[in-house]
Amino acid sequence: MQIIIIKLIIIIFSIIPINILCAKEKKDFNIGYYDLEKDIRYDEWGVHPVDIRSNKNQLYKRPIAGARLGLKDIKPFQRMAKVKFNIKELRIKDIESAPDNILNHIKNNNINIVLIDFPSSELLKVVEKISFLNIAIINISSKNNELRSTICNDNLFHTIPSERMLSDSLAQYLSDKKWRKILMLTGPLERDKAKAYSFVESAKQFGLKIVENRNFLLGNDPRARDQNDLDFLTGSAKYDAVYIADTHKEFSYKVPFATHKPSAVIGSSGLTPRAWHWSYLRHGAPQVHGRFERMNNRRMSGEDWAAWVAMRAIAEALVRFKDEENFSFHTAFINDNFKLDGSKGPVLNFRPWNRQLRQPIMLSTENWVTSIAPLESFVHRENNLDTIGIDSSKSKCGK
Amino acid sequence: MSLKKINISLIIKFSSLFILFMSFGAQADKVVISNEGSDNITIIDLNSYEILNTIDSGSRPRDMHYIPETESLLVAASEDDTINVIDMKTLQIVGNLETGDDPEIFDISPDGKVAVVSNEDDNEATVIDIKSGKIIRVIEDVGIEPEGVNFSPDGKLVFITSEGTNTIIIIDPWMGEIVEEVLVGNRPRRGAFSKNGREYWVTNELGGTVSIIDTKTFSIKHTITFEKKGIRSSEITPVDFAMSHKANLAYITLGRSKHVAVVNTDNYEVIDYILAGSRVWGAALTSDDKTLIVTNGQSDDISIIDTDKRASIKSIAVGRTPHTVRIID
Repeated sequence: MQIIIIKLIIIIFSIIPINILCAKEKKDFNIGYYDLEKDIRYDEWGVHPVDIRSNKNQLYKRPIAGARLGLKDIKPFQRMAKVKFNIKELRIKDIESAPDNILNHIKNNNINIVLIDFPSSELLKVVEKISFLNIAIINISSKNNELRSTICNDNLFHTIPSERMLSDSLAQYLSDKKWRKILMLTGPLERDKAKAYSFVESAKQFGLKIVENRNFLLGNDPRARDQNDLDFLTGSAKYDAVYIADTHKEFSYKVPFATHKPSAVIGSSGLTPRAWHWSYLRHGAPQVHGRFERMNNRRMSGEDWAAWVAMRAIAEALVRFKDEENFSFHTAFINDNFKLDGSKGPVLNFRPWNRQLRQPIMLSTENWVTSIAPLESFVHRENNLDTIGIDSSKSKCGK
Repeated sequence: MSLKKINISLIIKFSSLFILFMSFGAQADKVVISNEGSDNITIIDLNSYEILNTIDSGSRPRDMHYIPETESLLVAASEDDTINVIDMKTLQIVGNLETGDDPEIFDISPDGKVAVVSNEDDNEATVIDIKSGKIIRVIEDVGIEPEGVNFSPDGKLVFITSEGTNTIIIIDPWMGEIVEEVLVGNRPRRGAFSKNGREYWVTNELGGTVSIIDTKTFSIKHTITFEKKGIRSSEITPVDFAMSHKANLAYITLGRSKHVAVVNTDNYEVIDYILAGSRVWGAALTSDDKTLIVTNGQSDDISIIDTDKRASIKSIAVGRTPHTVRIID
């Protein structure tokens, strides 16, 4: 009997502190994270054949890794934001049912904000389906220009730069170097063509001359050598640089140092515009990259960065604006005083017209950031970061 | 001709003897610069502005503090995970302090016995006994990417700026506890106490402002903003302070804007902007407040500023990416 009483006392004492803790516990803040099980972007494409065999970590390219680092990095904000941050992940097997699945997941898990890693066509279906909830959705991987210029949705924010921001950055660099005559090589995919089209638009804006646009094909067929042999592809033309649009990179890998004339190679290989590159050494970037690499045993990609910075944006908005009347992420993100630190130099914020995160672009080779866009010589009347990407006058969004 | 040669060689010998004498003599009137890109320390004569010596340090030297009692200079060698102890008489590294990973900025307790360093990569602060060179304790979770470290003038507390969390973490280094956390602007880099110790000033590099914290209530009592015609707000990236010893002035380096702001510490008004070099960041004042020296991180030089004229009077090329400047006078 005595033993039982002692046991009871022990149990009661051990329960009390838990109760006290519970009373103090912060409110849950749930971030929904959605991606697709079958997503060609995370296939083995673009990974070097040696890495496919030896460095398995390179194969797990999904940017959820960036979101998880972001969660770790925003934990210290919890005290100030008075919430507890959680990521609720859902990987969707069946593309057709994705919008319904996500809607149910949001309802069942009290999701406060959404990070989404979908290709643009599937992304739009989800955005439309959950539009009535008025929940902010952050696109961390689709670079589609139309999402920023013609197909607009007030709930949809983008932390990944658009194709146009990337191609404008390259065009600024070429213009600055006075490498004005460009030979274009475009791949067979729709996405290759979209990339190439974006570059053509950028070339117009920054005064470059496209001497010719040729289509390449991956293969060794001698009957198609005008499309698969680099000497033919890059011969009989005068140019300062060769631009390649090749989403899968398998062809573009072999272009640098193999052009018919000595020439810079840019675009999908050679000098590539990126949201993030591991070799950048300034502005606290090595600390972010170091934390990522220690966590995941691989380099941090632009998509990883976009997911990481989306998490930071959420914490920043809560800490600075949660006490304001009628707080919503929609208004906080485009508030003039919203200032986000992306470890890329300047302070970042969202363009109010198309909800694209303003940011510098790293023009990098495989192992060095050669230059950062916007380049110093390009000046905008309001914010120099708006010299790259779709400016308010050219976007139908926000009107 | 031969006479002339002898004369020249004599002059060279004499001047090198003189330099030798200077470097072995009293430690007064020197400027020391840590060059984080070239792993060395430049030593400059404060009166003639001649470079007296360039000495090798550990890898990526950053913050430095001079200890007059032992005539030694402590240099945080970030990539070597240590603080070098340099004997300023012999200009040799005579010892190392344990610091933990990647020490960047540190401060020394008013009694000169203990150093507290920020470990940027590990989100920690390390308390070190200077005499033995051993770690006393490590304080974890001091925000993300802790940088600026300052002992309160009474030596009881340490204020740490956390770049990634946008807060100031106030710790008790003697108990190893976090006492308080204060939200400031974006990317707080460095801090400095007012002369009376009642205020803690913090530079917010990305916010482009300076937050002033009341050290009794731990609340923000004022925020200084900077505005100069011809400079965009995004260029204004405050980093370091030099607080004048006698006057009521604070000198604040504004990074990318290439200017140093002069602020009245009584009413927080920005009085003037002084042009310096590219990415001006480190700053130090002579004890008579007459000369301000700043490091220009992107032009590999330092600017000497006359504080009466409020103008740069000279710039001196030093090593690559000069980080911190200290004046021994």
